[in-house]
Amino acid sequence: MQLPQMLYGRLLCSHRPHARIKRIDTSRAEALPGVKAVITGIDLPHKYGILPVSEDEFPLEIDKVRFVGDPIAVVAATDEFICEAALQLIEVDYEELPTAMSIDEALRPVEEADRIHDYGALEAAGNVHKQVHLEFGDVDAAIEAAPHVLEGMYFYEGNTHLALEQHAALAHYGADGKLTLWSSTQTPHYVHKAMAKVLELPTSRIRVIATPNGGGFLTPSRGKSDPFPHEFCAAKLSMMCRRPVKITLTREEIFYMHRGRHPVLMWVKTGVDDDGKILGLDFQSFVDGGAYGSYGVASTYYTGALQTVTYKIPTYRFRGLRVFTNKAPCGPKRGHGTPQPRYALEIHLDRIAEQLDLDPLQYRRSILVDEYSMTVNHMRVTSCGLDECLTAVGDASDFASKRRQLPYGQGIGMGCGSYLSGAGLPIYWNDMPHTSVDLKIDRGGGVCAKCMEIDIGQGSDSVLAMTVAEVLGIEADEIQLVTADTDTTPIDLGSYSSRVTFMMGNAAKQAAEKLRERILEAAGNKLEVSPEELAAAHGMIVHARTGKSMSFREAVPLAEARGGQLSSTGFYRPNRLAGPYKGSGVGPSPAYSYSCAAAQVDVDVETGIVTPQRIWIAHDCGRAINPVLVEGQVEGSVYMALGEIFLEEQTYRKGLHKFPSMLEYKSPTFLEMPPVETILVESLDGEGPFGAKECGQGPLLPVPPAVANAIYDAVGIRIDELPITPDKVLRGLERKAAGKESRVGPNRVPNVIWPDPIRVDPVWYDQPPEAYVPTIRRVDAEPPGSAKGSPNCEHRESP
Amino acid sequence: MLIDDEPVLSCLALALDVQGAAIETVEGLRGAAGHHELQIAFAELGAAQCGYCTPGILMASKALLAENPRPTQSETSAWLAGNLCRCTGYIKILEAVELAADRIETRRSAGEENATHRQRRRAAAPPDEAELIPIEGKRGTPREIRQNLQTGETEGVSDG
Repeated sequence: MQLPQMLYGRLLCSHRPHARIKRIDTSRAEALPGVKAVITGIDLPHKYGILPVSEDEFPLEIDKVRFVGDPIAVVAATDEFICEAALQLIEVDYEELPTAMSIDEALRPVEEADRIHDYGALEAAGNVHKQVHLEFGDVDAAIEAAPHVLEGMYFYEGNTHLALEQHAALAHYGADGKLTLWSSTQTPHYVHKAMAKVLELPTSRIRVIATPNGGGFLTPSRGKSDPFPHEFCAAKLSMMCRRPVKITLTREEIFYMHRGRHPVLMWVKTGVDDDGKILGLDFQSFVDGGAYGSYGVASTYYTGALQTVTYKIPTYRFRGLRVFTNKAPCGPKRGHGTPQPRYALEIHLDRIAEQLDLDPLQYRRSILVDEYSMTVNHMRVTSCGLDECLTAVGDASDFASKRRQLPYGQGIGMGCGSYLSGAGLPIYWNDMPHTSVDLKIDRGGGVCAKCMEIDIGQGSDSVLAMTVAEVLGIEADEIQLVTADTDTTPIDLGSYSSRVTFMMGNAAKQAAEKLRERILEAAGNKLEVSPEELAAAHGMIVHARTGKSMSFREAVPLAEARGGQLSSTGFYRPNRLAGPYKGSGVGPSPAYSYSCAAAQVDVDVETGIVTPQRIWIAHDCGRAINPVLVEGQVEGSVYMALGEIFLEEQTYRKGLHKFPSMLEYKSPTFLEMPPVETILVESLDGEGPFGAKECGQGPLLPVPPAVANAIYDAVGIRIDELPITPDKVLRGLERKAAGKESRVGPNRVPNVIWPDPIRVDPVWYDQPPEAYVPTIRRVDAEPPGSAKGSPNCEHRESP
Repeated sequence: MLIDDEPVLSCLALALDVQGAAIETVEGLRGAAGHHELQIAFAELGAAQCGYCTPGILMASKALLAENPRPTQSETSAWLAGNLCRCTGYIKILEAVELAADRIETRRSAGEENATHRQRRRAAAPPDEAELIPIEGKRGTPREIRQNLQTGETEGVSDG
């Protein structure tokens, strides 16, 4: 994007992992011809942060820097070369502070003044951000009494989104005193809110436009769901210079800004009976948060929240701890805090099956949660197609006849997973809807749908158009969309937590139903038939019994004549789903998606190279409103998982990111991608729009453990640590040959003094959710193609 | 982009070096007569999600089909290995290239001309839009298209 008189901005980022800023002198930079403004932290002295409990960032840090890449100053100039030259002229004096570069280092006791932050779990020694201790039922007694007890430790390395588009923001503070910000964000609403706070402007004088098209912006890999420093800086510079300012982060800066997957170390202990039925689950996670809070408190809870929504777990304890380290801050990446524990749990289940000589697939089927039940930690499960997913993947992959039967070096493995269809609670506490959709129909029958949702490539625009079209009985391409603009569109919280199809879909459906009622009433009046007997499909309104009909376009003016402008608003807010304990706000969702994957791998025992040969994956998406895009999301999730399994890691050496470039941070190409067989399972959720649930994040979860389990089937070694690199495989093979424990992975977890547990009376898994929160069962889901709808949502039989 | 039908990294090509050459970018892929078969297939099969990598992959695929009109999936993978995509997992891209190749071949065997720039220049004939096929109505649902692709019946879905 270009605007007349536009200036360019560049950030000066810290070269030190942890240091106090003693002095910043920008005078030489300011004197450089072409430089229009230089600002430092004191010009933007308000803290922000995506979660109200951890507003711990300044757009430009003032007193100290906490990681290499922490922004401290920004320059606006007439071109980027001048900016670059000006950055070199800014003098900064640092006083180095001790660093914490790992979970262990962060847990070491530290002088008060050397802490990375002056908030967090200060009662604990070191740099602890958050500690959680939740106990549901008497876990110790259950495990004590169990005939089989198994312990395991796992580690999931951090990795980054690597969205192909670099983050960019363009701010324009106009002569009218109004700020417009175009940004490649996933959450225009939260950016709007944070802008108002940091810039001290009323929200009415800020307009945030998330830019979804015209060359493509973010991948659906959750690149930008936090507000970012360059957005505030571009805005402030534009206000100072009275000219548009654009800041595009370099690829290197994006590796530093990060907000990707947290590295998580996990400890799991289970007690099971002779059939493998879980009697108690004890889970610990140690979360390496990087330098700032970001979504981290939520991420920490997420490493413990969703273990219970796939299998029956009658007693459960979760202890989680997040530390601050002097690394790029972590945040949410596809699956937000859940792929890590899923990796641990699904390998752990494979071990249990092995120990009890059970078939891993049939074993999982025997311990599944019931549909429409409550979990021990008060999560409400509604539709659940996991059994169908397991069966479908088992059949498609021929799992039973391949397991233990393939030649040495080849193996097959399996894993399952589940994810939210939108978080049950908004990020900041309020009672307002999570999403709204405005519809307006013009006199020619043209429909315009408005919503703040932002299409980041996942296809939410198509879901909006198709949902409205389905209800009104017209074609989706006849609908005009206005989206992702805080000035012109009604609220949607943004593209995160896989919430858009479920939540916006419900709002769109409600808005369209309001208008359909008015249009059918007008048509019924004209045709002299009862409106209840009319159906709208393919642009026509038809009375089936008499054959009387009129077009949608003809009916629209009649409806407007009867009741005025055809416009409506639909909104959606989930039921109150949180259980009665602190921390229960993370995990509840109006519906969970389920998935199961099988992986067949080839392990080269000479080189340690593991080649995935084929992936089979079944995903319960409730209903596929746009099946092509659902398959695309599933395949994209498998791809992203394979990158995390074999290649991608966000790691550091002496405070520096090891590979902050796309050349060295390896991600899979066409050649690394195996064939993927995707099976969509439609469980038709009672509360999802037309039964739909999420599909953008959940399908990543089952893949890493499936691959690890396949490697065990192939060569008999356990790799309990991602990424699975050839050296780890070779090490495992060597250990096995030497008669040692044939596994590679963490051997210890920190010995932490946990806070006293919050003891919560369990809700037993087989209690119906109605006892706690209202639930709509799937028999009430309105199928497309029924009397009132047209088959715009392509209906597929579940394979 | 393509310079005389060869795929080239546009960021590394100097304008002075390509004087007199035929330069084709994704903007020119759609001709006056309509979208290119590759564009149509990419849209139908969902081979573009965020769309950021799509221009590069479309142009590289066009060069591939000029050189190898019926590539196998592994040939396509090898050809496109220099193009990263973070959204699709590449699967639908491979399917779309295959579908487009199929349709272009069908057109070609029906006798329609499909010359490359180089061939055209050699023939000193003005460029035409022969290889650009307009979208005529709907081509069936993506699922039907894919099923037909698997069974090899591509002609049946070219219209309606």
